[in-house]
Amino acid sequence: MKSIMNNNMNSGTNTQRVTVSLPGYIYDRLVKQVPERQVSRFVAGLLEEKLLSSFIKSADPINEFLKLRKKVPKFSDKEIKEAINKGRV
Amino acid sequence: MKNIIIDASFVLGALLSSEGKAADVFRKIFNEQESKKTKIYSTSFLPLETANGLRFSLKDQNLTEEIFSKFALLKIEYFTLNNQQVQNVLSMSYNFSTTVYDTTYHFLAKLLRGEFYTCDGEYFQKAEKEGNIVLVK
Repeated sequence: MKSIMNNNMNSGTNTQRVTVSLPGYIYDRLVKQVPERQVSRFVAGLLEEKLLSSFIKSADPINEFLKLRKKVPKFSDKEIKEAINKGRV
Repeated sequence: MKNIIIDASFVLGALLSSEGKAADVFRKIFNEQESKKTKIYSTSFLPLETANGLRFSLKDQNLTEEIFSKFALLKIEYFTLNNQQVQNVLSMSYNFSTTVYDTTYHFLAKLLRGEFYTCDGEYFQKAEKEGNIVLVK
């Protein structure tokens, strides 16, 4: 596990410093892909997107799932079962 | 609290079936779970079977991925069987002439003293006598 600390948060005064531990392979990819002084901004952006997205999506997951009935073609139970099993010998 | 075990035919039946019965039951049991009347379980391969069923039912990849992302947010507790339990599933599957995959859901229902909800009429016919199974039609 690798620890990351980065002071380079330029997004205003209301920020908190945190230390996080990452699996080595994620850390390696992170330092390859993101410039050294932009790690905090990058991680904050990802977290914001993920947290907001899960908040919106989890409002009513049952209804959200069933609402999709209006968008999909319909099949018989036999056709559905065949699709589930397709590719199995 | 009632334990309900669901398979991919039930999940996809609620979404893709030309009849609305599975969707009604789906809504009912998931809503009941919100009020702690039921607890919904499945096997750890439910997401794979669901994804495969979507993959070979729908041509629209974006829609398929949207559906799977919504499915992933549903509250389902997943079980992975140990080797001894799989041994028991094997035995059941020979008795019923069914697949190990389908039988695993049913085994889980018996293990948890719950009911296996399925839209798979063929499996139901073969294994109905074992109990702990409901055909949603």
